[in-house]
Amino acid sequence: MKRWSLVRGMKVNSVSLASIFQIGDNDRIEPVSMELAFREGDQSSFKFGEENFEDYPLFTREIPVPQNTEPVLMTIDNSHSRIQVGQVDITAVLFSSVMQAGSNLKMKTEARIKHIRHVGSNSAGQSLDSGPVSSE
Amino acid sequence: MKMQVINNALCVGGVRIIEVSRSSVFLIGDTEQIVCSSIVDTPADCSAFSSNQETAEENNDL
Repeated sequence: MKRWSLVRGMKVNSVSLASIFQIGDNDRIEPVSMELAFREGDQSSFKFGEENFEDYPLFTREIPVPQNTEPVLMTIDNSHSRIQVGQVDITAVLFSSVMQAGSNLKMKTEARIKHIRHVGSNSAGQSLDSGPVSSE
Repeated sequence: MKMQVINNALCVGGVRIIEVSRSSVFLIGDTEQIVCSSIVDTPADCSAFSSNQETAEENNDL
């Protein structure tokens, strides 16, 4: 038997960038967001559409998932039970995050963000994983 | 492994959150499995240097 989630009131300012705000039950939530905030060198040299996620290993590498090695036999007794919350205030839900009042079975969220910033002629080196695969 | 869970009533007065960010989860309810993964890369040497005065403010934003 599923538990009830009782929430008196919710106030959320912004839900953005592949995030989910859900009231109620569902089966599976899998939001994915990738972001590349770019500003390298002179601002005027930037053109939209120049950068590809594939050029940076950070966006293509496989994320290791911990494996469940031992089978778990789990019994849950939810009788006469509920989750009761008063007022919920959230300013922002961002980058494939999830805010849910209700139950689900499986959640798998993924966010990859790269935030390159080299501005001016005096930029101090590169990050370890930064450069495009094809060198500039 | 056997695991037995007995859920009794759970009562929370109120919740106040600034930000749920970068593949995080805030759940009022039950679930069986949660996998959250996020890769973020903004190293310190990505800081901006310039003769402009405005970059000092940008570094604070990083």
